[in-house]
Amino acid sequence: MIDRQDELDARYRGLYPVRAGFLPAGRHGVTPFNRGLQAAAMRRDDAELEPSVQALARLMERDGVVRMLVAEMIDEVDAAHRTVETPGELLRQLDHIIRLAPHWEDDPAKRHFFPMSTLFTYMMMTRAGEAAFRNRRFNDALRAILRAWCAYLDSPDSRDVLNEGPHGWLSPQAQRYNRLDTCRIPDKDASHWGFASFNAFFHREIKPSERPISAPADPRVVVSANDGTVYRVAREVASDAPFWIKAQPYSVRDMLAGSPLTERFAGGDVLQSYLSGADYHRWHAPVAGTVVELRVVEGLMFSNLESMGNDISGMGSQGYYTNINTRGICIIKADHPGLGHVCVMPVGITEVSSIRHSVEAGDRVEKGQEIGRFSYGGSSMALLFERGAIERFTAFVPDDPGRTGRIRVNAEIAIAT
Amino acid sequence: MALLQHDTRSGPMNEQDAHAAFHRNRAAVQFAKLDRDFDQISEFQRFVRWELDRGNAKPMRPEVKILAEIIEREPFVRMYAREGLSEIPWPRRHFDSVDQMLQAINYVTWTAPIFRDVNSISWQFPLSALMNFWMMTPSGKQLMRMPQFNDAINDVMAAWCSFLDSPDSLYVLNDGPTGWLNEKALEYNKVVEDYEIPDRDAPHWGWKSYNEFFHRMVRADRRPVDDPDSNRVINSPNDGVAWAIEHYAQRDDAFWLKTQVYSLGNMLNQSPFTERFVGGTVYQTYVNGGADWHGFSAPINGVVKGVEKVRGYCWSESDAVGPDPMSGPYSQGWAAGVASRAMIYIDSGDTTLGMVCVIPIGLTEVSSLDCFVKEGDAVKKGDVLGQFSFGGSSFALVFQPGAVREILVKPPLTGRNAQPEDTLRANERCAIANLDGDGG
Repeated sequence: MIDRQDELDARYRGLYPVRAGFLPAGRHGVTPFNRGLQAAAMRRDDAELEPSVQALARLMERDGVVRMLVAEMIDEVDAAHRTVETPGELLRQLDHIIRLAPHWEDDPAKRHFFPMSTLFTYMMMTRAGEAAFRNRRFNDALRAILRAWCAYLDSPDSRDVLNEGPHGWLSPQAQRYNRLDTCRIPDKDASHWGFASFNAFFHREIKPSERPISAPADPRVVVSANDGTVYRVAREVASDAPFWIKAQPYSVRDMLAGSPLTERFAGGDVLQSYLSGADYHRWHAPVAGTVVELRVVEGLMFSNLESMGNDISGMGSQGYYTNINTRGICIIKADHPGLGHVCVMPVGITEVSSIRHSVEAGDRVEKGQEIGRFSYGGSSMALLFERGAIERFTAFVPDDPGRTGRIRVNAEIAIAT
Repeated sequence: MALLQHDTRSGPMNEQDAHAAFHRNRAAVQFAKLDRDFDQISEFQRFVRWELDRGNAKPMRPEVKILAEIIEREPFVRMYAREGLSEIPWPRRHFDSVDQMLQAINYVTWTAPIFRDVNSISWQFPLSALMNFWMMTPSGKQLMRMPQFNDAINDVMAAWCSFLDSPDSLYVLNDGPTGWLNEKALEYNKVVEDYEIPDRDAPHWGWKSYNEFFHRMVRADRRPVDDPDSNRVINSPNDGVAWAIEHYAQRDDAFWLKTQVYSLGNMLNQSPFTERFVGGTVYQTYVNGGADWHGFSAPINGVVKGVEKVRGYCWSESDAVGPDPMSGPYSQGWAAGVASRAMIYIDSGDTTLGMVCVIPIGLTEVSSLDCFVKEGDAVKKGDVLGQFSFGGSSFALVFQPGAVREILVKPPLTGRNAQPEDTLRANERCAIANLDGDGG
């Protein structure tokens, strides 16, 4: 439990959804939103809980450790910010969240595009919450709830928030924020502009002319897999590092979760970036080659690194997530022999954390080809390169941690040896 | 479970106050003792380390390899395992790495406990002695609650249990200075006085394994059954010392708090029988040393209505307790909600007494328990219901509301030295029941 308000502020600012614009920049907006959620959930407290929420209820009844951690993370939130009084209320509020799609909000101080992150904000920062969100059984139960929500966000019912009203994602302000003019709109005259679901809107396609491929014919030019902001470039990373310490070193064996190709990446380089809410939510092949390994590692979603404390960079737990969160592993054997293998690792953070590959193992991919999508939820991207594969990184990389560098899909980020 | 030697303290005698005071003062009460207890643990850990260092490591058991793989593979298991070791203060840190710790655990699973003298608790409970410092660190407490880690270490303990069930474990049943059949050990364990001995002239006195010796059968005349024909008198199912008595137990309560109140839903694993016990009485005892019998018997006459075994967290201590030199006894209320245990429901046939639930609870070490009865069996007071293999053991009896007129034990005994006269023996009366027709 953190008592000091400025420490809470620092930890709040470091949360991924805050950095990415999914939550208000200031902490004062959290509790009013949560009070609204509490009231809304109470109004329908006789409704039957969604099956995945019922499963979490059963887990809390049977597993004493989970029950304790949930009860304590609720209790450890100070009274001024406590909007969940009992584990039963938490279930009600989760059930309420997954029956709705997030709506647009023009006022940045009231933006709660990630309502589950808002709900968990203070609980995540308690001592018991830190343990709870690392408990496999609790995390698995939450994942099942997020899957149910994802199914809703994939369904046509979720489109009611895709409208041109003031809280619709097609309102003039939302159009500007999301740069819809750069996107391919299925059918502007159709209802909901032709989007099949909220998720279809979230990972909408960008106009190819907006993201030209750098040097398509030069195999030494590596392009960005995603739109985003560079978090870190780390060279000669260790194969086994204590990823949980404040410096958040990359630990290749943890990142690659048992891949037979792990040793190839030991001593190699990592470039990590994170996506903001308005960014294009698909990723592309950074090099041409053949997909040799493809999977999704089911990991954590709401765990943050407590040691980050007053981290001046305010970058929160980005490095830590690559070792433990739900993430995709797509290893491409590059055509260019100097590159060897390149691993594209999309990382889910909070909310739905859904990773969908759109290629299969054995497929050939061309540089700049779309190879996957993030459904609703937070997202980060790590690219792993073999030792000695990269001559130099050319993307803007901040020297001082307060500055950030934007990268764009298909634009040059590095030159291979 | 070995003797807990608390300093004498006659606390405030309101039951709840006394209980809370015990937990509050435990660290202070233990203060003088701890260093000595910890020294003994250190001595044992240094011995195992020395064995490993001089090349006496044992072949790795597959179960220990799997545990090692899980620590390798699961980032948080590795994190808590490593951090836990590094949180042990230097003078008490006898293993340099998680790998070495696993080698030490593996070593112990190829050995049987030995007897040195009456105070040599670490040698009698070697796995507890190894785990002790690790499990009490903040990270260690989280580690012991990780389902992945717990499942794997339960499998290691099962492998050790097989070893202790095998003739390979017999080497400690001898009359040498560290054997369980030397004069001091026999006296300590009251082997001759209280127990059936298969064959004194045979090697190892006829026992076929260490576990057979551990849960040796007590002589019927040493545990006479009180009032065998009536359920007016409820008998203790086990030898033990009272740990806590709680009336008006709740269905859902915060069992993790300092008072370690009981939460019936968790204790009974949400059994359909749970509701009838809500508001009733829980009475918990623990087996106290080698002289105690490691079996348990029916406390009332009746019919078994259900038997359920739960595999739980055997190395988890409550966050609310301080350093526990015995790896668990301070956390027995917590253990009643989360540890490996069995629930045996016996219906008395009397609507006022109703059903009594007998819960043997495994603490640390092997935590292996066998039940000899099944649903539908009629049982008489004193019938053996089951036994513990090697490991620590605690017991809870759960009664329905209004079933108990009086518990015949001074509540609670935990804050004081456990004296021989405080020890209840199996089949001795521990409570008086209310029965149909009592009126009132």
